[in-house]
Amino acid sequence: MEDQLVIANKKLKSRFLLGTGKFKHKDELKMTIHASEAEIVTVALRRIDLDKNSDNILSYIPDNIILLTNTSGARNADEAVRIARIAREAGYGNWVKIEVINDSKYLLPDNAETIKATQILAAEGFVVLPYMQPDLYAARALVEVGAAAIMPLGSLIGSNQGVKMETMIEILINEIKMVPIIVDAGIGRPSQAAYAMEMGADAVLINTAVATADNPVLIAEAFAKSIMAGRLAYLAKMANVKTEAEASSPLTGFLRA
Amino acid sequence: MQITVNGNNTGIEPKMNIRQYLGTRQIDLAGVVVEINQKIIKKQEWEITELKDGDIVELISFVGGG
Repeated sequence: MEDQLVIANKKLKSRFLLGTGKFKHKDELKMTIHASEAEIVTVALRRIDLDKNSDNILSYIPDNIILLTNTSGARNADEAVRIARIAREAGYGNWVKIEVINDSKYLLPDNAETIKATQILAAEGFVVLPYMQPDLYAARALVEVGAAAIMPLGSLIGSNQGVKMETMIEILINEIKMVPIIVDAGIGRPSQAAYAMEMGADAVLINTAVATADNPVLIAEAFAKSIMAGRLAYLAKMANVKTEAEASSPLTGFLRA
Repeated sequence: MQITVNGNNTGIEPKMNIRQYLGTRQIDLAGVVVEINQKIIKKQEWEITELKDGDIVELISFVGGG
């Protein structure tokens, strides 16, 4: 069965977007990307540390992978726009994850600034994937100004709490039909990823739960399978939940005959 | 001549262009972006852009991120 995720006319087989932060060993990253079957990975931009001859992360990411540069560190729309322009100049494409955060305790994205940045960057031809707090009005505004997907948080970044924002994300899934909904942040276990996909999310983005597992390669494979399972379950249109038992074996009894 | 590179004051030889300066540092140039005084300098302009006294230079590249 052909079931593709399409973002900005790009057809993708994988519904697993992988983050590359927090990996203890960079050589593990390459194997993890392979195990995840991800076709999109996120990266960030930082000042080069001139005192330390550190490895270039790009050498661990295969060439056929789409780089989705985040704007982490941006506190407002202008800073996000500046980071995105730098990312494009680096020469690895024009996909950008807008992340505007002003709060260091909860790391919640600022939807208003995110909409502003999305508008500017989409007009400049970027493929813009905004990280946002799941709010229907904000999501509609993001679609209106040219977002290529909507990325609501499942729960707080790095918290591994799962899809705590379930009700609000369900509203986005039901109402936003023009672009994919990608649950980003907070997914800590494969069962939670499967749950998001069963709900009808188009994809999930996971970083911490993979990078900080004892065995990132193995958990990446587990996530890939759970995301696939959740997707298939969604497509299968699952049976309804009932409050009373309904026998699955025939009870017409020969015992009583 | 003094410039600021990634927040640190650095003395450099005069009349040095960006490519020459980068050559003096141990940097893998894949994916490196140069900003001078908050303006991005395109790669093809590195050779023709001379550093000036007081320039604020940012050298930026990719790192892991979510």
